[in-house]
Amino acid sequence: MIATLTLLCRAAAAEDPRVKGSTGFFDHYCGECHYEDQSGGLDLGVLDFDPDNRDNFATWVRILDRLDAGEMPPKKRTKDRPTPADLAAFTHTVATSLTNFEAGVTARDGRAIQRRLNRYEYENALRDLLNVPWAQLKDKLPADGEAYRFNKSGEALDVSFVQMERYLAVADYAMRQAMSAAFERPRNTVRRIYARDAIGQRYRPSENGTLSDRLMFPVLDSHAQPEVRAGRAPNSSPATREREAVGKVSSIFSDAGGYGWGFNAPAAGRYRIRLKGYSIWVSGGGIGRWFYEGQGEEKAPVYWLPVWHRPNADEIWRGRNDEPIGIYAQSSGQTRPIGAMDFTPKPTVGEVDVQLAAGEAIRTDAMRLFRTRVNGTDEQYVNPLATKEGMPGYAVQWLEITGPLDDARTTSGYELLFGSLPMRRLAEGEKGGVPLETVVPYNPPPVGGFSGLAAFGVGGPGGFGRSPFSNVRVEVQSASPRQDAERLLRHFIQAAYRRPVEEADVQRFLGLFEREFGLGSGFARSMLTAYTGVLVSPAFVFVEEPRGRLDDRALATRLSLFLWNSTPDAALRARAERGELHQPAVLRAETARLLEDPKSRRFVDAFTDYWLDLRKIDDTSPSSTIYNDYELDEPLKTAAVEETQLFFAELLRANLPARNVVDSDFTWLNERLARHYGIPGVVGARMRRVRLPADSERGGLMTMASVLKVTANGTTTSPVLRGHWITERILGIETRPPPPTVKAVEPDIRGAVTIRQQLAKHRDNPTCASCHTKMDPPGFALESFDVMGAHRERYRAVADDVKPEPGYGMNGQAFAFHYGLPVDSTGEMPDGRAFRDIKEFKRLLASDETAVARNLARQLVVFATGAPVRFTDRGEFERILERARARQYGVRTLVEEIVQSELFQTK
Amino acid sequence: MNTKYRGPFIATRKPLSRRRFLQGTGVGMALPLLEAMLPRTARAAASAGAAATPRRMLAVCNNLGLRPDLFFPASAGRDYQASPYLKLLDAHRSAFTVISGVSHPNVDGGHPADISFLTAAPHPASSSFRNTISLDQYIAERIGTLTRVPSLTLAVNGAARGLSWTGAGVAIPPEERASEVFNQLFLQGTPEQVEAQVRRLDTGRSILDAVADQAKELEGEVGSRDRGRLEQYFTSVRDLERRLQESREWERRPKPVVSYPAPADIANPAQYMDKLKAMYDLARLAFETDSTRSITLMLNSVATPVVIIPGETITDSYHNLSHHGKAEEKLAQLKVLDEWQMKLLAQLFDGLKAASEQGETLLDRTMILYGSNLGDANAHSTVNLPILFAGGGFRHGQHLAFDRAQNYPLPNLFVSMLERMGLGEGKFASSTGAMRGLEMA
Repeated sequence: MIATLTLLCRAAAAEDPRVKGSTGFFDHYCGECHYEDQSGGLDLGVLDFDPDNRDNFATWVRILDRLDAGEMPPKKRTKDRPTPADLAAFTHTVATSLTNFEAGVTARDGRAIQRRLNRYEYENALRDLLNVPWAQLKDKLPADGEAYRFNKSGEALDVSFVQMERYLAVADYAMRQAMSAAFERPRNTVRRIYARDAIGQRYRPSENGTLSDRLMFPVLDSHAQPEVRAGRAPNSSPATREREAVGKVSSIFSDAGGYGWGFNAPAAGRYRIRLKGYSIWVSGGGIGRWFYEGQGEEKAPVYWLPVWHRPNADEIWRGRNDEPIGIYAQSSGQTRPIGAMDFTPKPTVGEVDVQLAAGEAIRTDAMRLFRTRVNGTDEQYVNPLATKEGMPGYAVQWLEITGPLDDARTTSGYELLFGSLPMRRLAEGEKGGVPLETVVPYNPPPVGGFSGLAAFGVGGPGGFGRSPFSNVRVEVQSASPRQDAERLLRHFIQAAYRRPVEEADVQRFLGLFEREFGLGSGFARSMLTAYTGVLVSPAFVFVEEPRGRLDDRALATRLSLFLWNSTPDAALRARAERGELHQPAVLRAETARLLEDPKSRRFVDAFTDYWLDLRKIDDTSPSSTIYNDYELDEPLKTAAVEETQLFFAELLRANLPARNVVDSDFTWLNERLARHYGIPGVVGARMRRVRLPADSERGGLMTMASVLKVTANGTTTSPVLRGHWITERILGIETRPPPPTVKAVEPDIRGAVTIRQQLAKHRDNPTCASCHTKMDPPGFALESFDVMGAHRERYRAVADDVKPEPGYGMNGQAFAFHYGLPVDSTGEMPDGRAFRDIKEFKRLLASDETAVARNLARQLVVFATGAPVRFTDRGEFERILERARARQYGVRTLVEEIVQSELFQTK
Repeated sequence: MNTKYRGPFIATRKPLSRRRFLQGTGVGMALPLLEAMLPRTARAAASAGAAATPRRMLAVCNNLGLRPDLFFPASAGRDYQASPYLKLLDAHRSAFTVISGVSHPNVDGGHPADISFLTAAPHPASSSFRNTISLDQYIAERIGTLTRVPSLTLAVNGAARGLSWTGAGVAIPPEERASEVFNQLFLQGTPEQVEAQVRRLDTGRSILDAVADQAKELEGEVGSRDRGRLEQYFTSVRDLERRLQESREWERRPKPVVSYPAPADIANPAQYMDKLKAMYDLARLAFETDSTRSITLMLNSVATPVVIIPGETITDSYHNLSHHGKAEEKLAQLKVLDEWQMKLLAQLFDGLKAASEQGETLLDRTMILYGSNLGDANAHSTVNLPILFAGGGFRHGQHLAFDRAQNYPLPNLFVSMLERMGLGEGKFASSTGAMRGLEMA
């Protein structure tokens, strides 16, 4: 059959059909437009049949689909149409050829080719195996390639020597982390650090030119302490100690802003962090800026005039609102958010429970206050939250850290490596051993005293002082090293490999131990050498799947890589070993168990990272001239990403219909994000499920700030780029890239012309229109949203001769933009149905819930199996949808039915 | 902390992504890996560059910068009027270019911006900041195995903060002990030490042997396309083994002999200028002996106490002086420190000029970038950075003055530097091209 078709096409290509008037189907019905490329780029005259070439294969599938859908030949062509019989004969021929070819490939190689673990999976696998949940490993591995939009296909998951080298380093690092966790484990300690001790006494400027917004000030029971601030009364006294606080009206712009507490986690592990404080209100009219004269003892401040928007720290009142406070972990200059809480006008204690790496420092910071800096004049920098009546601020009393909070599993990583063999510190001069990084113990300052201040490095910016780490070398003691080695190694391979231990592997890696031990490297180093071999070996790094139907072991691995983004746990492996997993009921039960485990959040995060590009949230930043109201607004960005993750997690948890992807009556918000969306009644930093007002334009993924941000460039939005993104990701329609000769249409920020006006010309060209009629509608509908996803009626523009809008960004800089031309968010669907705005657009889409479900299921199939829904998969894929239809394509049902399908259970 | 960066050197540049490569062809298909998509190995670079002139780079960041009023010349061009600070470098006027009106786009945040000085990664103070590869590591990845050490990451007063970041955005801890660097480069290890290091490399190779074995066995069990994946794994293992072998050869090769006394470590951070001079001396020695081609030096002035300067009275810490608020006394003291920075640079230039290589001065073979992440430390401003660019075989002797209101991208200088090294790809971080007005001699 292939031969026939090939012949047919070769003939068509070789001879000019118009001259010959030859017999082929194309000659009759297609050639008029599709020979010599007279229309949209498909030239049937030269089209070969070369299914090994994926492009060529896809072209034939597309031809078939368009004929089947009746889109071709075009309706306007009235005479000389193929009879149904002609058409059926031809499409049958093509379909059979395609099917035969693909079935051959599947028989030989399976649907997907073998792949290695991607770096998300490798990190999770090591974290789970060695019980080192804090270990940051992903970023130490090279970025993974993408195929079919995910990092799950062997076609893109290459291995280079860089990859190998990083595997070696990461495996060694993770194992030494597990050893550190068991080394001279510090006791669970409660450390309460009083703000007055750790960060107090920076009440007056120590440097000339410091803006007063950045200074801290003493607060007691929501009141100022002018005497303390002036240095005429002690910073702290035993009678008031518990109630003393330190206040501030600004947030971090840079290092000098937030509170560093002088605490470094003494060991990796779980900690409970509690923070006590409250919100305050501070009068304005403070000193604009200090200047000093003189040196040493002679030094005295010279004041400038009071300024209304600068704080007067000697006039403090009870807070008028809540203040969200962020808690961050920091090491080597890089910070990660670990929690948030709200300070209310009354003192409250917030609590977060987190995994910290050894040596990580804790910082706290108000999330929405003025992000001030030292440079600039009073005219240039104005606290955007200041009013004539004063400004909001916060006062913090203490930070309390409890931990490390150990449990039975704390040292399980070490036990996996060395069983119950003891570890000891090597003395100076002793040879060999394994180096571990330990943290120099923290000594809390004595209660009521301030002697600890110097040790905290107070006075300088954080992260510039000493490193909290010191190195020790350790050795593991074994009385009978060779026996211990074999016993431990056998156990380790069994835990690490997702298949039974093969004797050849034991001998292979035992050989590494023997060699190393024989050279005198010591027991611990020799064991780590053997283990490193295991963790970088193909049997660990690659996903081993037999051809054809997966056996239970391969099924277990596929299931856990799907739903946990990690390797199977003991329970799942046990089911597989007993040979039960392929039983539909068992598989269903395990699917449910994995989804209900907190580890399923890894699936949600990894899936949305790729499907919705959430991993690119920081790829662009808001323009400092047009959007400086978003500049430095980390809390908004963080909430936006969380909204999307939590939303998808909720679809999965509650098995909500897939159409929610397009439109939903709820989403997840906190106060900051709700304000961004203009939704009232959401108070506090905590993300929670919120029912949307009936007339809200939010709901579904398309109108989420995260999606709207990753589809914009920080300065402008393009309906083409956004439209293309939505068409592919949400609607599941692939469009081909533009011909290389076409110049991109760039938005103009001067405000004289809209992108839509610029595009109009482009769309008039029929070649362009064939794709743009599909791509542009969602883009047009989303023109109502700016680069960060806020609603807009008009575009923002910058021009020298137009007065900017009044107002200040979070950074205190005046706005530079003005409002320009109005937004037009109307459009029409490819089938001609018109919409006025995004709400109507969503309604039109949601009316076809099967289409929405089909796209989501396609994305899930790639994520779960590493291969897209191929031509020959279509039947089984439609059966998945069919089985989910009764539940309105519940997202969880889709996941379950994918797991039950042949697509999932076949390599 | 063990801060030596030695042993096998591994390219970490993100290779041309398959996806980008395939954009022209539509969908991603399984093509064989092309040469250009692999990280460039030392061998590839060697074949292109071994015969070529060796080029080197030293990048220095003083994280409190210099007083802009005394550093920047008032006039631009080749006949610019030397500023007070630049007068101290007058003997080398034809050997450097002073650059104004430049900064890294979107690199803000005040002090923390020093870790972006050689990476140009935006928003270093943000709570989700991840750093990217630094210029020196970009160079070291490509030509690192041509020399004994791929690169040196040094610091004065700052074991906690360096300028070098790997392709994975991981900080390379800087070395601030001159003796360690000296030993690494010039002190012949005892046979045991050499053996220990060789054994370490051999351990890596034996691990690779073991896993390669397993890969070969598995290949027999899988289909043809899957076999391709395992073969790629196998090839990667062999590639890495070869690189370990190259590093191993360096271990066996005797270290160069220099007539320079082994330096003693200066523990007192107040002896900032002595520490700085020691680092400059080491950099010169490393280049003279072709021990490395790429060095970074972080001058952590922020973490420096009251600096001891013989014959001068300094009363405040370096950081405190930088926030002078225009107080005369502080300005005067800061000027003393700044002038010392210039004097030590002049000495470094002298030393590099006195050494020659194949008939050229070492200064002509060595690019020196001296600058800061702060344009004006008094205001924590991260624009209008003070940049002095010397040596390396450029047409110097000019003041390149860019727009002080709309800064020109500093990463463009990095592009020019890479071109000079023969590693130009026209792009580094947020660059927009090579540096305008900077020509090779």
